[in-house]
Amino acid sequence: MDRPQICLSAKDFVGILNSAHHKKGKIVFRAKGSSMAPFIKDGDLLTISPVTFHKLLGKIVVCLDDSQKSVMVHRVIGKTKNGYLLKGDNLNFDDGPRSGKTIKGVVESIERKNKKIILGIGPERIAIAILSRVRILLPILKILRSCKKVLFFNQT
Amino acid sequence: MKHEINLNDIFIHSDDVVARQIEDEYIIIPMTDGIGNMEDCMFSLNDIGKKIWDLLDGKKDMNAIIEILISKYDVEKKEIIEDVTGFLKQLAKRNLVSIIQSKE
Repeated sequence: MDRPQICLSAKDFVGILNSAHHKKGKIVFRAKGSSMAPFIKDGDLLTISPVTFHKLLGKIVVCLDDSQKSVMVHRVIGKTKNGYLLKGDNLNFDDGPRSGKTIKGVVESIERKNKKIILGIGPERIAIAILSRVRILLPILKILRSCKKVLFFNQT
Repeated sequence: MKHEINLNDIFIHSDDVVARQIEDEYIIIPMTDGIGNMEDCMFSLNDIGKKIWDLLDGKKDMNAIIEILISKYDVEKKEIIEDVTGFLKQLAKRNLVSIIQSKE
């Protein structure tokens, strides 16, 4: 009865999430991919809480695709009359408006190598969302990465 | 939960689990302090495990469950008793079940 290596479909994953949230619980799972780098990296452990649709701007949410074949964990960068606008921090384009019904949870915490990561989900999340929406987040992150490399190189 | 399984015991699923049928397996995720950790703590039951799990309704004692399984499977009673009590010990060890009633 040890933990199996199984592949959950998006629908199954959301079903588990819903069941946990119904019991007022949270789910922890390992992130995959780099669409939210550098704030969420591949392999990070994410704790997902039930979603409340109050002050969602900047929050990172779990969203079920309309086809119910995939789940994404992206940031809310705005709201339009057609729904919430989501976007991966490391992507050039947003996901298009999403209905609130497709949003299944909120990332409450991020853990990387046994350490809590707070950057990206604190109050700065609103600034990140705005920068992402106007498409200057990626250039800024690129500049910061370059500066970090230069500083590191100079120190060594 | 430390307990030697008695055939008069009655068990029920713990409230603090999330469970779901996924293809051929039944997945159980215990919730510890309100958190279900899919990374570290997820169990799967095969077909017979799921059948036993479904019978743990808080009403049937172990004897009744064993009799039901004997009627469904062509297996020696002794073997079923061993398998079921072993399985219940595993579930109890991981707090996936609670004992409702224990008769000595």
